[in-house]
Amino acid sequence: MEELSFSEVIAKSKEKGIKLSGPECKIRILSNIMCFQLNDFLEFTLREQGINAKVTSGNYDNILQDSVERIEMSVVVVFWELSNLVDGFHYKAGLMDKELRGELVEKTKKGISVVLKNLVEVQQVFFNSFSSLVFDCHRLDKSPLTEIAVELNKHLNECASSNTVIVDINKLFAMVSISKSVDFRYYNLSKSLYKLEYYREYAKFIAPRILSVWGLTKKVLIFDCDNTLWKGIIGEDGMEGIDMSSGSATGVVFAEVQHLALELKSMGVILGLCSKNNEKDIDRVFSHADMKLRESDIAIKRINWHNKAANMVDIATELNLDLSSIVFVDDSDFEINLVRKELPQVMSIQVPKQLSEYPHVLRRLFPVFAANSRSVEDVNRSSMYHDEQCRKEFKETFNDIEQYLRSLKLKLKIIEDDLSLIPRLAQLSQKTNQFNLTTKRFTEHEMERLVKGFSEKLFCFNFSDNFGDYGITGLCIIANRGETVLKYAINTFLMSCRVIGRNVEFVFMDYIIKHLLNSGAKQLDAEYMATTRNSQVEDFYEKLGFIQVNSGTKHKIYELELHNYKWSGIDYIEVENGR
Amino acid sequence: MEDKVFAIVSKVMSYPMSNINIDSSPDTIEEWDSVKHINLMMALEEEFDVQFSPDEISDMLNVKLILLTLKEHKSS
Repeated sequence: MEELSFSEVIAKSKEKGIKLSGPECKIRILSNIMCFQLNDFLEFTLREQGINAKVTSGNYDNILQDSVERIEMSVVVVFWELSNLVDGFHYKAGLMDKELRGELVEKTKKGISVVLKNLVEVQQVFFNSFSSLVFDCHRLDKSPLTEIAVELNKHLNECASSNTVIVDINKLFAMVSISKSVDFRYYNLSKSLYKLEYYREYAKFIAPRILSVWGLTKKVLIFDCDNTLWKGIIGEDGMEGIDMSSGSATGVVFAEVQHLALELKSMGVILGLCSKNNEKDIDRVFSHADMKLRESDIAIKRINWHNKAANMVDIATELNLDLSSIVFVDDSDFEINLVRKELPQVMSIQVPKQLSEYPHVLRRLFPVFAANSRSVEDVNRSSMYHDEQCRKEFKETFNDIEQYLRSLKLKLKIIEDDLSLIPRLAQLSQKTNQFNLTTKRFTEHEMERLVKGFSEKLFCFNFSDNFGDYGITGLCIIANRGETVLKYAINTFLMSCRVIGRNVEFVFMDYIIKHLLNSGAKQLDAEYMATTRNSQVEDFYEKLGFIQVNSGTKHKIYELELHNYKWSGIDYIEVENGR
Repeated sequence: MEDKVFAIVSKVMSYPMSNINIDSSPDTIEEWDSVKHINLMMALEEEFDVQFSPDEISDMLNVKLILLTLKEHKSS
């Protein structure tokens, strides 16, 4: 979209301000530089989204005093510029007496704490990070200014409470470029450091958060299909003619877009389709080998020949959401302009003509949806909810891990008593430290004796997943206790760190126990010998139902009645008998 | 150029276009304070794609001077 000029922004903003009713969103900008142009850009950006924003400024270089009694404000923005900590700081800092500089930094840190404390009741605070980039981005070493910025930012991060977002202005410099961000003509004349372009982007940068505080976050992402989720037209080109393959230069753009859509879905965004097509054709595409989106990912569909504005209204009604929570993506000028004209509340995004830019356009949308996950983050910060959050996260992580593991197509090939593997098995016993219950080291010669003898049985495994083969990565040596065939003991149980975290050990043990039961065994003894490296397995045997029969913690001795063994119940690791 | 400058002054100062003439200045337009003056200078630079010198920025305190300065920049 064409950007409006500054004077147009001022005029349009005023025009919109008159029409808007509803609660006023009071925003105050506190600063130690002049930044009045931000008022207009911020008002405009928010009023355009339907927020009745009123932006005012504090007094020049009066942040501390202005931060008192700002409770009636909905939003406070703090521009605390490094260059003006004291007049001319950006050029004086390098020569400044170290002690004096230290004092100034300490004073500023105290000031930051006080300001944040004063603003703690404000709904949303934006506090700019301290940056020296404008003055020293060309320097390979750390300038004094950088060191000060780092120290102040560290303090800022420590003091910020949950109502405060630290605005990383280095990101803005990266987006706008430094030369388009600052203008020293105006700085030297009137302490106006930043240029119009910077404020334009700054307003866009923080607006999504204000919208979410105001309850106006985007929740639904509706895609057209042809040339929006894949290259080509399914109704004309057929299944073979459409392209969304990560292996083709054009298709990969759509593969990436589908991945991003799924990422948004994982953040809580509702995905939908709205396409002029035959429903059967679209249904068929879900079985296309390169189609990343599953039918189950799509919460709402309007595949018909109706006008798309009508479909959007229909979608909003069915989801019981406001039209302003919808983002609509389409490649067609016609459809985009129609929806923009009929339903300006809907955010309509056109697939860019330069296709390679398309994923980037979608990435830029993340902030307008991100508020959905932000509430979780806020809850996380509040200690009151912390414990509950921990439990929930643990469960979520667990579910995710299992789902993840399931997707990996894990395969365990178990091999018994194989002479040809002796060098590798000896090496494993020598090198494995973390997942190793007894840390007994064997030479090849000793290992060979074990394999050839009758009183020990060796199990090892080869592990692979759909990313590749990890080779022989686990070993278990079971010894017959001699006195009776019913009683066995684990001499060694170890696993390479390369395969830790996939629950292989449990499935491996299941296999061994099954083998022992089949040979008529009743009891299995085991021991854990602590080293400096193997604490992660100190309660491994407890988890499996073994009972500790001594009282040590460094050397634990266990017994297991085999019928008490706790089976893993894991069904996502395929087990194959290698011999 | 004149109309365009009038329009920009009008928008930046939120002042009716019909009341603006070449003699308009901080003396005739109450809203034209030091902050609005910087806004006006930035808006003019943006619209006409020019860069004024600090002295010019300080001196352009009526529409006539603005037009003169812009013409100088555009002809050079």
